[in-house]
Order: sequence, then C-alpha cells, then structure tokens
Amino acid sequence: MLHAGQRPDPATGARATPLYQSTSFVFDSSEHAASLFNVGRAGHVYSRISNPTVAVLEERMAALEGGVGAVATASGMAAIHVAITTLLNSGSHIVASSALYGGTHNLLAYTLPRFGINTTFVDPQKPDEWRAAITDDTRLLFGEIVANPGCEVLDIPRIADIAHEHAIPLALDSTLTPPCLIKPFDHGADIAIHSLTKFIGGHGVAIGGCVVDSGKFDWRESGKFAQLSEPYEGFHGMNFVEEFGPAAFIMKVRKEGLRDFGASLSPANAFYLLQGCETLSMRMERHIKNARAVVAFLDAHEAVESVAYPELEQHPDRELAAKLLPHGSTAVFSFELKGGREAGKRFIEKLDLFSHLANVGDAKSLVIHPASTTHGRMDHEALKSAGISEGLVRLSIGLEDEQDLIDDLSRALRASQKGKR
Amino acid sequence: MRVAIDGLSVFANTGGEPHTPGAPTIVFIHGAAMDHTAWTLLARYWAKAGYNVAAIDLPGHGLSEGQPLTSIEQNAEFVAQLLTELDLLHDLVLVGHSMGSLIALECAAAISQTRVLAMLGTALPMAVSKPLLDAAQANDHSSIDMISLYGHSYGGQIGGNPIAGIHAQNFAERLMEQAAPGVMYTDLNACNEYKNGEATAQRVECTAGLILGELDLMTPARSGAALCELLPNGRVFTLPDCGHMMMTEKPEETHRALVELITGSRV
Repeated sequence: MLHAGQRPDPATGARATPLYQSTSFVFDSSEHAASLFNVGRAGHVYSRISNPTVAVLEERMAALEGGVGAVATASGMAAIHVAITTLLNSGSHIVASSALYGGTHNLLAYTLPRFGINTTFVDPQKPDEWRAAITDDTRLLFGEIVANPGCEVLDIPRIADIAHEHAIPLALDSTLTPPCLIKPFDHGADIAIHSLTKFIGGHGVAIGGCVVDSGKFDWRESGKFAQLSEPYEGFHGMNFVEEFGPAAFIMKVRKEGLRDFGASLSPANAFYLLQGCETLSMRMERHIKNARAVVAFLDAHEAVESVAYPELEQHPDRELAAKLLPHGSTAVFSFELKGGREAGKRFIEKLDLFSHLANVGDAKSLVIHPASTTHGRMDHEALKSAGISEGLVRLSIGLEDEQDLIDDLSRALRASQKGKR
Repeated sequence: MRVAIDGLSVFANTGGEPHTPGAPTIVFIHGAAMDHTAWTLLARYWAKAGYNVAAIDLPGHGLSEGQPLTSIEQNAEFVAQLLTELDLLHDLVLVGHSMGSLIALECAAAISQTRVLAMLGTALPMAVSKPLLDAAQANDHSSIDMISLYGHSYGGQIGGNPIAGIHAQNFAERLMEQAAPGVMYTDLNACNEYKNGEATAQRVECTAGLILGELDLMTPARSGAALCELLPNGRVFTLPDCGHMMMTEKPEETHRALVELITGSRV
C-alpha cells in the first residue's frame, strides 16, 4: 500500500511522486483533445477535474480502502458535500446519526435544507430508529464509525443491512478510523469519506478530503438513482451505470461534482498528504499505543470522572469495538473532568505539550475544552442537550513519548483541581 | 441498445453514439465473467471515429439476460446472430479480450465481411489451471482473487492508472463479483475445452493483430506469438510492462495498438 498508485516517474526516474503543479495539460492533437473530453481516452485535461499528483493520492486511497476508485477534494467537508450532491436531488432525504462532527451537522441540519435536502437525525446506537426514519424519499444513510464525544461505535453491518433492505447506500465518515484500523467496505458500507487533513496527512499542514467508492452498490437494481442509471444530458447524455458499471458513482463524482462545484484538491496539498500517507500504518500503531496508555492513566486518575473509550471495560460498545476495530479504536476521545467548566479551563491552561486548538489526528497531541471554546456560548442546559458536559475535554493523542504526555496531563490535572470547592 | 435474440433481451453498448446505416462496425467481446464496461474508453473512441459500435454483453453477462453459453463456438454463433439482427454484417472489425478473443477468432473465420480481427490477451490453447477451474466451479471467491492477481502485472497491481482515481485491479474484481454464480466456471471451462483454434486461425483471411501483454501470466505473450504464426495475415503488438488486463492496465498503449492495427496509422 505504501507504493499504491505510483511507480517511479518514467520521464525522470523520480522515486517520490512528482508534484505536477500545473493547471492544465497539452493535447497531442485536436482528435486527442476531443477524445479526452468525450471520455474516449485516458488522461488529464484540467486540474479541477483531475491531476497526476492528485490521482496518485486518489488511487492510493482506493487501494487502502479496497474501493474501485476515489476522488480527492479540497477538504473533508467538500467530500461529504460532493458525495451527497452526486446522489441526492431537491426533495431527497437523508437519515443520519445524531452523533456527527459539528461541521457535518451544520451541513445536514441547516445548509442542505435550503436546497431541499432534509435530514432526520437518529440515535446511532438504535437500529430501529434508523429503520423507522427511512421514507420513500430517503436516498442515503450517513454516519461516523466512532462518534464524538462518547466514542460510540456504529454497528456497521447492522446499519448497512437496513440501508440495503431499502435499496439505499450507506456512507460513512471514516476520518477518525483510517484504513489500517478498519475497512468499512468489508462490513457493508458502500461509500467511505475521509478528511485527509487528519490521520492520513498526519502533519497538520494540508487540508484535504476524499470520497471512496466500494463499487458494490447496485445503482441500477436500486431504481432510486436515475441520475446514475438514466442518460444524463449534463454529460454527453451519458448513462453512468451502463458506461462504468461498478465505478458509476465515483466517475459521476468527478465528471459532474468536481466539474460543477469545483472543490478539487490542489496538487500541492495532494503532494503533502501523500508524504503523510506513506507512514500511515506505522503512525497509527503509535497513535493507538499512546492513546491506550493515556486512557489507562486517565481512567485511574482521581480528578477524572469518566473516560469514554471503546476499549474500556465499562464502555457499552466494548464488544463491538473488539469485533470491528481489533487494531485499535481511535486516538481521539473525550473524558469528563471533575470540577466543571472552571476546572476545564485551568486544565487546558496548564498543559504544555498538548496544543490547544480545533483539529484532531495530528502528529502532535491536541486538546480542546468544548464548554469554554467551541460551545462556549451555551449554558448548562444547552450543553446537556448537545451531549456535552461542562467538564468534558477532548484529546487527540499524537506521536510523542507516552510518558511525556502522561507527565503533562498529570500536571494539568493537579492544577485543574486547585480551588475546587 | 437492447436487442431480442431467441426471446432474450441482449445488451450492447454503442459507445454513446447511435448507429449509422452503412458505417463500418466495430464489435467488442469481453472476457470471462466480464461485461461491456471493460471496453468503455475504446467503445466511446470508435463511436466518435465514425464506427457503429457494439460492445456486447454475452448471454448471462452484464445487462444481457439468459445463461452463459458453454462453448466458444456457441458464443461465436450468438455474436453472428446478434450482428445479423443489428444489420451490422459489413466492413467489420472484431475485437476480443481473453475468452472474447477466441470468440472473435471463430467469428472472423466464419464472417467473410470481417476486415480486421484484434485478439487481446490471447493464447492457444487457452488452458485454465485446475485450481482455478475448481474454485470457479465452487463459486469460490478465490477464483476472482486468482484472476485478479495473475491477470495484472506487478506494476498493474501497484497502479498508476491514467484513468484518474480508478483502481484497475479492484474494478476488475468488482466486475467479476457481479457475475452470477456459475458464469465464471462456464466461461473458463469454455476456454479450456476450446480445441478448434489452430484450424480456425488458418482460415482467417482478414488482417489480424494480437495485442499482448509482455508480462501476461494468464495468456503468456509467447503463446500469443505462436498463434500469430497460424494467422495468414497476423502481426503482434507487445505492450511492455503490461499484464493480461491491458484495457485497464495500459489503456493508452492498447488504444494506440488498436488504432495502428485498424487504420494503419500511428498515434
């Protein structure tokens, strides 16, 4: 997988993936140009649609996930957006987990309804809620594999069965559980989405996302996706299912989604993300090892009310996590600090090694206290309804020495409890 | 397009363009457990180039109804019947891959209107190993795994696909997974049992080209080259660094070879 998508450059012998920082690519002849536009030959035209450096990252992500193809996008949110707009029309409906990344929740709850796409949010742990929320207009089930803040694990096979009983695909945001931890397609998911910014890149220098197509969903048999299984006037009258078979969805993401919405990944960011991708499996081993050590430390600490991590004895999804995520659950989790909002602030301010910022999946350990930052305007009741307590702290465990992390946390935890009544 | 043959609805992709009466015809015939989507780029190219395109789904494959036919000869009769039904039996180019190349060979010998025969990823005999046949007969996924592994060169497995973002090996696997139970075995067995190749090849009068992958482990290039000796007007195009699945492993090189074979021009 380290090599997937790239071989030494035939023109120069370059071993690393060259950065093709070019907006466009010269045609051999007018016939060559016409053939590329008509999808009669393989090649690149314009970097909004495809680019050789970006294509290496796309093929590598398809290889890592076991999909037929992938499309890289400007961000993880762009990936979610283009997957949805490829499959849904005004009047279509989504059933989604209520435990989603805030940006995704905003898109589904507030932005897409303005365009006639509505979402019903359900408790991800209650399959009956998923089933009951499906209507004749539902075209997508959407969730995250390990949710925030409780680290609930989605029962992918069960939710996939519900989706497929209704001839609907299941799309999963797998950002916090990259391919070396789980391959969602092996458990029944049809589409995987990543924010590449996080663990895949790992260095925190480039924003990017991608959509990966399993190639397993039968769009024609479903009968619910005419935009894929009927001639599309917007692209040479093409019937994507007839022309591309298992790759119909991902080809339409590129041919329509990137063409019309243009949220493409820049070649430079693809280049950066490829550097991270090469060490993904080794880094994830370290992320998980460190996360487990920190979880064990916090779980035993007197200043900690509770830790939400799926591998802990008391976590309700422990068995499911062991089955679906045997190589580790994730390195992003939350814990409940005794002493509420003020203790949370003191804790954050005393940390040295952990960086206080709004990101996850970096090589460096990160921390955020939602009640005093992202959700700082909410009162106690509003926080409670959002599933966030005043003492909740989210950690993203990085690659530092585990004892250094524990020492830093230990100092901050002691400080957090000073002045406590 | 759909055509009724013996009461069954049969599908052929036209490359995105309607047929024009009198225009030359190019027919694409897929390999074992595959379908017309193996030919998408080539079908679209030749349709724009003024050819009537028929990228056929053989019975029981892709979007065609029915059961897979049990011999190469039966499949060739089916193709001839389809071309008659579509009124395409004139100025004919026949292109087949793997099993489809044997069907194309039989058609070329039988249909005098054939101008060019292109056999991609081909060999005579097209013997199939017992472990692969047994796995296919048991409808075991290992048959797909074996074809996926041996059907792609090492480089093809690594990737670098010029079709942006598409993983050729996984695409081939999904395509084979879509085939109904029994299809893979029926097709592979038809290849394994085909005995008429040498005699048939000697009766082919049209221009013939064998487009072979240098690193093909399923139909080794040397076997294809030996077949070429039997074809009165045959020539070989060897694609460097390419395995059996040349249409997805090396789409541009396959395209160029086909253009040179059919038009005599280099691109």
